[in-house]
Amino acid sequence: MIENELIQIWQSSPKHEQIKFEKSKLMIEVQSCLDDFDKGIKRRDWLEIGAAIITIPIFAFQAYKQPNTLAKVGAVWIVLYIFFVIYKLLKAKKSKPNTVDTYLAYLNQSKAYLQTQKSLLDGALYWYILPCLIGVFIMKIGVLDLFNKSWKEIIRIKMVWISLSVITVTGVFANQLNKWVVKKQITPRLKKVNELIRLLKTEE
Amino acid sequence: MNKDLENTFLNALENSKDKLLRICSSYTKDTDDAKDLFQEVLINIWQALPSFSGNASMSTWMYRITLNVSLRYRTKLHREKKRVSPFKSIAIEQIDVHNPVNQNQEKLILLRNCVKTLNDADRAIITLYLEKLPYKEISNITGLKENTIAVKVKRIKKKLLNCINDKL
Repeated sequence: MIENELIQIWQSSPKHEQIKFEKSKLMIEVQSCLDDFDKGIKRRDWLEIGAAIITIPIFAFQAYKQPNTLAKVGAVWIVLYIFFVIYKLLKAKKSKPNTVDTYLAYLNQSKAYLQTQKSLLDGALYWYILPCLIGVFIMKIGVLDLFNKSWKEIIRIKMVWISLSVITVTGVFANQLNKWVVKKQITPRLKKVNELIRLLKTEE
Repeated sequence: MNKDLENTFLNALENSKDKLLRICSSYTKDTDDAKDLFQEVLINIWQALPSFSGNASMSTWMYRITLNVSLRYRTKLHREKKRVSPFKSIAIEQIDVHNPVNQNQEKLILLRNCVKTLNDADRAIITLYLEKLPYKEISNITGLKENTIAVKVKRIKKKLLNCINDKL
């Protein structure tokens, strides 16, 4: 086979297969698919950010209502923490790659996006998990008034053990889940994108 | 829905459907997958159409989206690929499906299989070349210099010919 034949063969595809569409139906399907997609994004945003926004007034009210100062500090901490998480998530979403850019630009944007996601999840223990657990922990100490109790009394309070267990299990689970996502989803994609950029930039 | 936008979309699609499908087919393993990817490309084109500025030609712009969506499609995990249900309005018809595969069709299958063995970077360049696009347009789509493309095309063509001749 010679070089010129390559193009000829490649372009002979309509002789062997043809794509057909019903124009009126197609537009309805494309638009409804986009609507579903938008709904999906709104639903996810609602779960991630809406749920956090709902929680703010609850803890703000606790900060006002709780008689113990430490409980107030814990509640304020959690409110600030929620604002911080919303800010971090919104910021991370902004860097999504744009499909209308050139292939190389798209790859570079994908790389930047994946790196942002990776560092977000890699550092989740410090900005997402620990601050939350610390806030809950401070509030719990305040609500149960543990500072005014002896060690023997504290050990006997069932709620202390339940809270400690829940906090620890939640923290460990969230951390392991993030590590799994980085290892199984983000790192392989990042590796592939990096390799593609390298291949494109190599002039042989 | 904006009627003008809809007409622009449908006309552009009518003119480029075979080209776009060929690119999609080179990134997928079978016709069903190619249809899935083609559908995703259409959705992305329609979604981005209001922001089309006309700085590049419509076909260049559509090729960019097709390549980028194909790349995204390949880097996604399998479970994420099947989110959208297949469009009933799109059909890929195999012609002469009952007749024995002729020599040309055999060569096309062979060429496609060889294109699929290339890495994604080479695949992106060669599929545009096989669509008879000038180096300047390939450069506008990929963001690479024309000289780089020329060098790469020469090398990839050699690879493809070796692959095909080995299997013939």
